[in-house]
Amino acid sequence: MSRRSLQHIEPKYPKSSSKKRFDHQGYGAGSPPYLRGPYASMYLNRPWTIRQYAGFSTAEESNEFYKNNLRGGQTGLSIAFDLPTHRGYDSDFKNIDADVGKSGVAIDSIEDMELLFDGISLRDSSVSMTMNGAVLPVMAFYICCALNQGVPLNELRGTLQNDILKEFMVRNTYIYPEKASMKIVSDIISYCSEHMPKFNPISISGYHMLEAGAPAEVELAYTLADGLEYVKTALDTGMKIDDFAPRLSFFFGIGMDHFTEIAKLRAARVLWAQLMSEFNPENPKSLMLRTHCQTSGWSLTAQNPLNNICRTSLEAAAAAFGGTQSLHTNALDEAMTLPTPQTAKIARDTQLHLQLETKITKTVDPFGGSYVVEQLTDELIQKASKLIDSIVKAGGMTQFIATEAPKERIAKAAIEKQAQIDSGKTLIIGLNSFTTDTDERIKILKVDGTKVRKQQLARIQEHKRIRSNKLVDEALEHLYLGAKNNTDNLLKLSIIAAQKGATLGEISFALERVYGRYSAVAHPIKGVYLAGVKDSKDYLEIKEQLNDYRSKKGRSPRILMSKMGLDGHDRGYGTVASALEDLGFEIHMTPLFQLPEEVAQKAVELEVDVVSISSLTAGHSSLIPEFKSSLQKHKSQALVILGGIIPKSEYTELHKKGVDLIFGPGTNILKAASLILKQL
Amino acid sequence: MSKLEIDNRFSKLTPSAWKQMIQFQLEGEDYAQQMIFHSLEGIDIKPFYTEEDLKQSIDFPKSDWSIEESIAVYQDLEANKLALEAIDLGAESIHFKVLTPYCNFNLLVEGIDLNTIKVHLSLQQLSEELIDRIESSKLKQIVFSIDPLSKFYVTGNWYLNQKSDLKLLTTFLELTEQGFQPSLELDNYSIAESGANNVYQIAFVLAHLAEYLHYFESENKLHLLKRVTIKLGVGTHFFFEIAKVRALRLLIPSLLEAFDVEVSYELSSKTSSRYYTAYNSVQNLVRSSNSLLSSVLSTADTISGIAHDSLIRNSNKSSNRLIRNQLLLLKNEAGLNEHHDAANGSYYINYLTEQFSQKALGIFKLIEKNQGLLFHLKNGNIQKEIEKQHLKELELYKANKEVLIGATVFKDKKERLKKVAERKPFLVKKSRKTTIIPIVKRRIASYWEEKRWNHE
Repeated sequence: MSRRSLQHIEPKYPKSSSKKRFDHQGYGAGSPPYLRGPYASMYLNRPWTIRQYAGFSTAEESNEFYKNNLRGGQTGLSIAFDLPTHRGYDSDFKNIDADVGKSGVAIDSIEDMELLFDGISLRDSSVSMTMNGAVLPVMAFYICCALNQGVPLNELRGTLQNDILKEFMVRNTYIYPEKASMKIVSDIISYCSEHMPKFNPISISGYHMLEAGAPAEVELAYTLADGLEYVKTALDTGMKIDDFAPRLSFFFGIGMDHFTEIAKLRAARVLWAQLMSEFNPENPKSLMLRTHCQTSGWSLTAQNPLNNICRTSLEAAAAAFGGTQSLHTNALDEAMTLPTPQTAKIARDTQLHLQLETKITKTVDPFGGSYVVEQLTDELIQKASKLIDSIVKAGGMTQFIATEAPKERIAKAAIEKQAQIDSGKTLIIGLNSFTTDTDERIKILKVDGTKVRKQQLARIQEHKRIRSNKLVDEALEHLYLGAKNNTDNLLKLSIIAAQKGATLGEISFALERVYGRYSAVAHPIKGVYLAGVKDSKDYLEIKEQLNDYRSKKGRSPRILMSKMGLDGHDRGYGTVASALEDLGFEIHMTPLFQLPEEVAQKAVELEVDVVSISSLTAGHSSLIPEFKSSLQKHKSQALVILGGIIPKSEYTELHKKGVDLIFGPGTNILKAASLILKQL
Repeated sequence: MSKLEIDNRFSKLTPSAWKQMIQFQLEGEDYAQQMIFHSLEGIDIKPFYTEEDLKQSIDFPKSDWSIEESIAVYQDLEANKLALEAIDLGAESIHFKVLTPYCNFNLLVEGIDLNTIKVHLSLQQLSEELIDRIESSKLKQIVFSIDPLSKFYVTGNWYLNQKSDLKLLTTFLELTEQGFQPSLELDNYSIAESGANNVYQIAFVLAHLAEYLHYFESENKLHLLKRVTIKLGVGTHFFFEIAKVRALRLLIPSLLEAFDVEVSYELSSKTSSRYYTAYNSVQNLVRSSNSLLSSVLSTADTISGIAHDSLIRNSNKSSNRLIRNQLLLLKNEAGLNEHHDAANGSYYINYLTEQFSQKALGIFKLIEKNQGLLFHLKNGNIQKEIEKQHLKELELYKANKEVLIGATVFKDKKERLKKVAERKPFLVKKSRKTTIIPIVKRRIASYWEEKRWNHE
C-alpha cells in the first residue's frame, strides 16, 4: 500500500487565551522574597528531611521506635510527649493517671531524656520537640542530655516548637498566662541565639490552626502574625534582628486542597520576607521562611482507613511541591490511634517514594508558572496581608488573642465545614459518600497505661531517692526568684535545676508559683451550623423529635458537654456543642481539663439529661469508670455519651462500663442528635 | 502592605543570577554534573525553569475526566453485576474487556444508565459473527472498539492474518453507517509496561495510529473512522507522565490533520504495574496515588488504576474499590476539579511537553520514513529497541542509581509471599509459535523479587 509522507507534521498548539501575569512571578528561590524556595537549588542539593513525629509510652519504647525508624530511612527525629509532660506534671502527679504515656512519651526527669536518646547521637541527629507548655524543663533536659553525651551546645541541631500563642487559639497545651508564656519564649530564643546557633528555638505553627478548621489565608495570617509578635518580643529584650531571625522556623499543616496548599507555602515565604524587611535586617537569611510541614490528621477518616494512604500521599506531594524543608506524613490509622510499626512504615515510605521514585526533586518549584498556582499564590498573599494588617492595627497578636476573635473565627470555619459534611454538600469518600457495610479492620496499637505509669513511678521515686534534695530545692528557689524578679534567663536557671535533679513537674511548679496556671472558658458559637444544615431532611426530622420532647417535658433536652483529663483538643468539642445548641438542645460546657468528679457534680447541679464526654487521646478507658461511679454516687440517671477517637474494639467494654452511646470520628451530628433524642 | 510595596522592595531574580547562586553554593563542583538530570528519554532537566523558558502557553480546552472501571468479561452476567456495583460505588465509565466469544452484549450492559455512564466494550476477538452480534444488539449508545494491531504485537500473532484482520476491522467500522459507535482502539498500555521510555511511548502511539490511517486511506475508507480510543500506561515519574499525555495532545491533532480526517479521540490512562512491587505491595497504593494525580493533571479523559495487590491476588472487590476510591478522592476531596488545567503555564511542565513532543516526533518520522510501524515490528527493530530501553533502565536500578521501595531498598526481610500469594507475580513464559517477537511486559522489581521468591 502507498504511504502518505508525514515528514512535515509539527506539534499543533491549541489556541491560547490571554492569561494574567502576576508581578511576583519574577521572584526565584534562594534570594528574597524566596517565592520559589528558601534555597537556590532546593531538593537537588538535599531533599526535605523525613521527620516523623512519634513517641509513646516510656522513653525506652520510644527510643527503640526511633532507632527502627532511622534504620528504615527516616532522616530526622520528632518527639511527641504525653499530655502530663505537656502540661508540666510529673507522672506521679495526682489525677493524671489516665493520660500518662498515652499520646506521647512520658518525660519526668533528665534520666528519661537520656533513655529517650540512648544510642542516638545528638551531635548527628537533628531533633524536633513538640513542646509549648513545659518548654523550659524539656529544653533543659535535652541540653543536659547533650552535654552528658559530650556534645557542645553550638553543635546541636533541631527545633523546639515553643509557639505558645497558637496554644491559646487552638491547641490548649499552655500552662501559664499569655504574658508569662511570652517571657519564657523570649528567654529561650535569647539563650539559643547565644549558645545554640544551629538550633531553631521556635517553630511558629499554623498546623494546629488548619487542624482546628482554619482556611488557608487564616492559617497563614495568624501564623505569620504570631511570628511577628515573637520577633517584637525578642527585639524588646535588646537582641538584634539578625541575632535570632535566621533561626526562626515555621510549621504548616497540609490539607487536601492540593493547589491551595502548594500556593500557601509560596505565599508564606513572600509574606514573611515582606514582614521581616520592615526590621531592616542585614542578613538576608533573616527574611527567609523555612518550614516543617505535617499532613492533615483531620482529613483522615476512621472509616475505610486504607483510603488515608492516598490522602496522606496527596498532601505529602503538595508539601514537597510547595517547598517544605521537612515533613511528617500521618499514618493511616492516626484518625483512630497511635501508629503501629506497620502503619508508621507506610507513612515513612510515602515520603521515600516521593523522594526516590518520582523524580519530583529534579527541579525547583516544578509548578512555578502554573496559572492556577500563581493565581492562588497571589490571592493568598492579598488575603493574608489584609488579615495581618488588621491584627497589627489591633495591637499585635497577643492582644488580638485576648479578644478571642481568632479562636472564634477558626471555630466558625470548623462548624461550617462540619455542617457541609453533615448535609452532604461536601463529600468525604467512605464517610458520607460511596460507603459500604463492610468494615476494614486494622490492627490498633494500645498502650498499657497502668504498666507505663508503674514504670514511670518507680523511676521517679528512684530518681528522687538518689539526688540531693537540698541542691534541688536551692536550684528551684533560684528559678522561682529569677521568674519573680525577672532577673535572669529562665532557661539558664532551668538547666541548673535539671542538672541538680529537679523534675519536670518541680520546675514547672516553681514557675506556676509566680505566674499561676491559665484556664480558658468554653462556649458554643451560635447560628453557623444551622445555616449550613437547615434545608436538610435530617434537620427537619430532628425539629419534629425536639417538638415532641418539649411537649412532653416542657423544656429542651439539657446536655452537659465535658472534657476530662489533660486532653486539650477541642475542635470536635466546640463543634458538637455549637451544632447541638443550634439544633435546639440546651447546652452547658465545662472548661477543659476536668476531673471526673467535677463533671459528675456539675451534671447533678444542672440536672442534665445527657452528659457528653469528648475524648481524643485514649484517656477515656480509665476516666469513664471513675466518672460513672461518681455519677452513680450522686444518683444521677443522665444518659452518658462518649465521642471522639474511640476504637471500635473498645465499644463493648465501654458499654459495659455504662456508656450509653458512642460516636466515633466522622459522626454526622444530625444523625447523632436524632439517636440521642430517641434514647431520651 | 500592598503588593506594590513587595515589588519595590525585592528585585526580580534573573536566570543568570540564580545560576550564579547555585554555582557559588557548589563550591567549585561541576554545575552540569551536579545539577543537570539526564533523563532516559535523553532530555536534560535543569535545576530551575523561569518565565524565559516558557515559549508558548499550552491551553487545552476544559473537559471533565471520568473515573473508569476496567472489567474483564469472562461471563456477561457476572461482569454486569460487577459493573453495577462499581457504578454504585463511584465509577463513571465502564471499560469492559470482552474476553469471551459468547458474550451477550445486552445482558452485559443491562441496568446501566447509558445516558450518564460511559460504556466502552473493548473486543478481544475479531470475527464476522462478532460484528453481526454487535449489529443485532442494537446498542448504539455504547462504544465498541477493536485493535488487531496491538493483538499482533502483544501476542506475536494476528487474530486470523493481517489481511483478514484489517478487512474485518473495516467491516467493523462500517457499523458507523448504521448509527453504531465503533472505535479504533490503540492499546498502548502494554508499551508502557514493556519498558519503552516516555518519548518512545508517544512515538509508538503516533506510529500505531498512522499505520491504521495509512491502511484506511489506501482502502479509501478513512471516512469510516470517527473515533479513536488510546489506552496509555502511567508510571510513577510524575511530571514525565503529565508531559507524555500533554505531548500527545499536541501531536495527535497534527497527525489527523495530515490525513484530513475529523476524528474524536479519547486518552484513557491507567496506572502501570512496571514500577509495582509484589513484596510490600501496600506501597503500590502510594505509587498509584501519585500516578493517578499525574493522570488528572495530564488531561487524560478517562482514568483508571490497577489494584495494589494485583500481582499477588486475584481481582477482588475490596482492592478494586480502594483504587477507585483514590480517584474519588482526587475528584471530590483534593479540589482538583475547581481548577481548569493546573499544569498549564508551569515552566517545567511546558518545557517537558515541548521536549517530549519534539523528540517523539523525530522518532515517529524515522519510523515512518522507513516504512512504518508494522514493517519494524515484523523485522523486530521495535522489539529490540524497547528491550534495549528496558535494560538501560534496569541497569540504573541494579547500580542503585534508581530504587524501588520494598524491592531494591528498605525491604521487609521477614515478609514471605510464596505461601499466601494467589498467583505468581512473574511473567510466565509460554512456548508457542509466533509470527513476530511479541512485546512483553517487564516489571522492574521482578529482577529482585524472582530471586527472593525462589529462596523462600
